[in-house]
Amino acid sequence: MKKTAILSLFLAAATLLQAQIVDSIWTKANSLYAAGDYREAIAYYSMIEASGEVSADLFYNIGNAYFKQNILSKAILYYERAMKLRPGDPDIAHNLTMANAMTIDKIEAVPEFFVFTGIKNIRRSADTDTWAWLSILLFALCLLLFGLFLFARHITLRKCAFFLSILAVLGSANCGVFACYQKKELRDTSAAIITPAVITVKSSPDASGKDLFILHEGTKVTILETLGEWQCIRLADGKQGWILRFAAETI
Amino acid sequence: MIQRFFICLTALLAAGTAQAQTVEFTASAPRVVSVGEAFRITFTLNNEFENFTAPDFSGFTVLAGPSRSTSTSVQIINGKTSYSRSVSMVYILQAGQEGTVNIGAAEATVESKTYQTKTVSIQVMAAGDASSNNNTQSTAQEQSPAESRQQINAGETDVFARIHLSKSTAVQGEYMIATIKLYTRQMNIAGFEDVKFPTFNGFWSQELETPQQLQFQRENVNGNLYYTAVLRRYILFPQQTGTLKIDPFEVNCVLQVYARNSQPRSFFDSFFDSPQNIRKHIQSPTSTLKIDALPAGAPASFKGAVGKNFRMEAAFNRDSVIANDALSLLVKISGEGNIKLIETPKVSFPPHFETYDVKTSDNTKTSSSGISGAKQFEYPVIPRSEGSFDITPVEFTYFDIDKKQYVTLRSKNLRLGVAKDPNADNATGMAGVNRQSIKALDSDIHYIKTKPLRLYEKGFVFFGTWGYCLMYILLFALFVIIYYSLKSHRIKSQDVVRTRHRKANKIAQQRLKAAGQYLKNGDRNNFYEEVSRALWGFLTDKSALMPADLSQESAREVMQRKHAEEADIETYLHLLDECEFARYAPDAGRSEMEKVYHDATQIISKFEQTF
Repeated sequence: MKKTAILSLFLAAATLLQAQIVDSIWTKANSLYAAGDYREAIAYYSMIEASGEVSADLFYNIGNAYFKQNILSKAILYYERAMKLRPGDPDIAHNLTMANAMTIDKIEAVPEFFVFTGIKNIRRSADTDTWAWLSILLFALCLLLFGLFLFARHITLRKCAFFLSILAVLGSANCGVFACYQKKELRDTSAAIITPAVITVKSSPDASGKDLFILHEGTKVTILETLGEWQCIRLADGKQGWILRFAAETI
Repeated sequence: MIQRFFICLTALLAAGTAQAQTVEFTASAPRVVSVGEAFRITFTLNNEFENFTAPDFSGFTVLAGPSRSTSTSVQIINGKTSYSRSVSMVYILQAGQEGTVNIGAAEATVESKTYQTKTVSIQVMAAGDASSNNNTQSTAQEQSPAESRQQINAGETDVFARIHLSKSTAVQGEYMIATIKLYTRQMNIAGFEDVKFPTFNGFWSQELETPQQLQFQRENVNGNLYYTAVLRRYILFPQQTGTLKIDPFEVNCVLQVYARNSQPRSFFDSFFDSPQNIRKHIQSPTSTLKIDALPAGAPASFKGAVGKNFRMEAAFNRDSVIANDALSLLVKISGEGNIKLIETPKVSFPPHFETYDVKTSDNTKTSSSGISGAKQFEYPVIPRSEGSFDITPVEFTYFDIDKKQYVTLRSKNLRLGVAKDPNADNATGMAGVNRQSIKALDSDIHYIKTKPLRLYEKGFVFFGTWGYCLMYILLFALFVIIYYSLKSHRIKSQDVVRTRHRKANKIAQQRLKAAGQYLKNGDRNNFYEEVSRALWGFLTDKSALMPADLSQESAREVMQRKHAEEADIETYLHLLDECEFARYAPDAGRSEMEKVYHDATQIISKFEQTF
């Protein structure tokens, strides 16, 4: 009875997709979460997800519900999805860190030049469109300052306006580049999360291949290529191997 | 025989004084006998009686009796003397036919009060199955000589062991009794070797007290008469679920048997026949047990306690203390069940209470009806700051075997008043205020987002769209439009005035220079015209007025607005007049021209600085 009710709601969400329905499902799911019924909450969240539209808040809440049920791989998967949509959110970052701390595989990432890491961190502090708007804003500021330079009478004001306008145009370009990278990262579907509790990584796309190492649920991998039922993955520390396709879910 | 002799001896030696004590009147007889077997039934009374009425022995033949025996014992313990005396009436009976026969109550009167024994039930079995010595001997003699030289009667080595379990199914943690029993057809066991008791894997086991010496009882096993003895008893608490196997009990029994030659023997042989020890390895069958898991949905405070009638008490050993003083919380759990296996209940003290290892002690009694008693947990704590603290009630959950459900016991609210430590200031005052960083008690994920949901089209990014590019183009176009409109406006209005103002000095100087040239050449007309234009032009340029608008009055006004000195204004206006005049007046000479030139240059250079 409950299942049919869910199914009908599911279809309603998929077909009608009216903001009101989505809102009521959202409120219902949140109240279920608050009551501790995480399984039901996920069922309701999934209805909204099935509509095909996305939201960082939605993914974050789904991640929380999975985390509360101790389904670590799903929790990490959804936190990563939320993170991708809104990289600067401190709640998402905190919960993802907590979930990652509970995974079994401790992988030392290949060290990166600290400047790059710093730049990457700054870039990831905002999402694509924030950078895009910032870029436009800085461009407008640059034009304004250049105008000031052209029409101002005092020589110091003109000098300042000129340098600031150059800075603004550089900042605008920088934001544009950040937006570009963020977009690339958002569209990138090579990152995936290991979903089975434990999986053996093979040396070749073949069940008879040598067992290279074992991965546990929740580990983030990069998919390099796909061959039939198999896909080649790389870990953060550079290790590579082949796993079955179903074993990793794309973020 | 010997036994009886001792009884008589004690009866003779002891003084026959009956003590006033509770009267016990009992009847004892074997539970199983065979047809034709003679056995004894004894009625024992621990007091002298006046009148004894034997019960009806119908179904049995009374071979002898009643014979009366008296025993008295004197005990002196710590100077306290106690006497006990008992009188027994013994009958020798013989069973007549198969079946269960009840022997009614015997009656005895003690100090004009009548006491009765309990009814005794005796099972009588067919004669062939019984194993009295007489029978076996007769059958042995009938053995054919063709049989092996040393024949051992089957009955003599018929020994086996079994493990009896009080329950065949149980839930995890429910107690059960395992009894290891030895069965023998004849009480000819001389000893045991290599005893291997089961290890009870998957159980928590404890041995129950069993008598040191084997006490044989008669028992009917599948229609055969056996002597049985309890070797050991264990109380078991299953710790795992599923089908548990109990290892077999193994032992080598040393049996005393009489080897018989099939050769004809002399009559005396049997007198001097010495028994022979043979060893027989016996092993009890492996028994299995089904242990069910406890029902799901156990509360968090359930730690495996199973039993019944549990009670919990929790209290501080002191109601109020001063800070930095030690005290203990005592939690006592009592009941029947796996008391010994109870884990320490979790007590959450306020964070600034220093806690130490919990001391546990138990006081339990093990019997065949399970383990009962109490287990005490002592939580030593030291409160480090003053105040009144409520400690969350201690919770303890057990699975009630009778009700088949979880029962949670909750202690009353624990309140503790902690007074300020009078010495605390001296101790910490030296080092200044003891600052503490916020203590992280636990970590959890952040709560869900509850703001109204805003959905986006999947994969939609504003960056890189036409709209995004258009923003730049629009901004630039706007800039260009504003730039040009500003520029044209400036050219139209503000710039003309400004340029004239800026260039006024330059033009005036140029004109004066030209006038100087005319002065040199003596071109008087042109000289005055140039000076006049220089003077008028300077004023119009500086005041942004049109030349047509200028007159003597407006010129004065302009100069006054620019805060020129009155004398200078007069000079300026006089020079203008003179130029105007000189152009149409007769020649006043070169010196006049030079004076005008000098004055004009001076006044303009003076005004250049002030205007």
